[in-house]
Amino acid sequence: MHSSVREANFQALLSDDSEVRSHVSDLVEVYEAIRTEDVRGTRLAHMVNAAHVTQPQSDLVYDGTRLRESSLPASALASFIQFLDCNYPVTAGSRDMISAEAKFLDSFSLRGVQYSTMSYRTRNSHILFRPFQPGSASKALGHSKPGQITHIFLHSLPSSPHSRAQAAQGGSRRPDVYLCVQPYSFLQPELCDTDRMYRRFGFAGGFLCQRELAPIIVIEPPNIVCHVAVTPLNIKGHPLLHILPMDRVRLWVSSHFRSKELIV
Amino acid sequence: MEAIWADMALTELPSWVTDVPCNWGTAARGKLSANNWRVICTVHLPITLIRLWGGDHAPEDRKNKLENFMDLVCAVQIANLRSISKKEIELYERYIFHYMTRFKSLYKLAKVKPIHHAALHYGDILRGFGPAHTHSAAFYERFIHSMQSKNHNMKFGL
Repeated sequence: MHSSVREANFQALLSDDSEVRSHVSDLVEVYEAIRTEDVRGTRLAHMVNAAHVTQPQSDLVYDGTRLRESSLPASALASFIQFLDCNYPVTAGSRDMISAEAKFLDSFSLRGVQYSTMSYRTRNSHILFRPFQPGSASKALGHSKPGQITHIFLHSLPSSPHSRAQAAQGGSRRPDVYLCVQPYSFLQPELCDTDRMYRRFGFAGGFLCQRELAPIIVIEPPNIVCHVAVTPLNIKGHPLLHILPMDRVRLWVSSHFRSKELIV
Repeated sequence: MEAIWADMALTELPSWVTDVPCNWGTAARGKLSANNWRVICTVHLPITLIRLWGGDHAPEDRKNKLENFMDLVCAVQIANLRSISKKEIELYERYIFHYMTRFKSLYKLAKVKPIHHAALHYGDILRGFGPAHTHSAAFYERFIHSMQSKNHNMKFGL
């Protein structure tokens, strides 16, 4: 309590007296860094710095100094083109202009949660996501799939109408972030009964899938639902993977309450 | 316990989830934090217990105990959501009431503790004060820890 009161007095002195502040400018800089430090679980920086209340902030944050230029693997490029065809349809043939060159990232933060590639930090690479469904605006969470992030890349689309308009005005478009994800394969039909014993508990029980990864698909960060906890299990001699969604913001949770009737 | 420890060692959790001591539940490890217990009960126990007790071949009493435990897990998961609606608060109340009702019939020798009673009223707290993270003790305890780590000379004011 003593130190908190002293700190409050010190803050008042600094904000009221510009002469004092100018004398200890070096000290103030260090003090501000400590005061706004994002100590785990305290949300200190969030409360002290009220900028987020008045200024719109991006949900997606990444370290621009860690970008690496490289080429997309052939399988990822093919999936990327397929993704663009489905999401941003343009005239036939214009996809030939899509370059394999991209800037790669190891991790990014979405709404304060870190997501990484499997090679950088495996435990942050397991996600539940909504795969794109061509011709459907539905974001039904029942269609969410588990998968693992293999690449995170930034790509500027030279052929998009938006880019062309910006290029015509002499501006440069900020590249968009995309993710290559390998979904976990669906269970074989004979194992559905085993899966049901988990699924009947809804969001609290999780579900099973095969350990094998399906071919790469490309998604955008807003397609991510949440992280998942993965556990390799051997059930009835089958090597399976248990997936437990770790959603604390009710996106997945609210639509997966246990289906059974509760006796009240 | 060995089955739970074995599954736990294989589970990959996101970095924001606190890892639980690998030998929890032993005298050597001693007490666990509330957060450790939450992770054990909502992540590790469901994975293993459903595998062991959730199948058709499992004894009836184990199945009932699993059902009862999962009611508690659902209630805890809902109570810990970062945002919560009236519908979810009602669901919390249904789960915790259902859990307590069956708890009394399944564990006849177990006593109903004050924490059980408090849990039955937690829906009112959620209704009045919003999601748990905005008013839970853990939030203030972290601040106390943060303040305790500061250097000071015990002199009041400047």
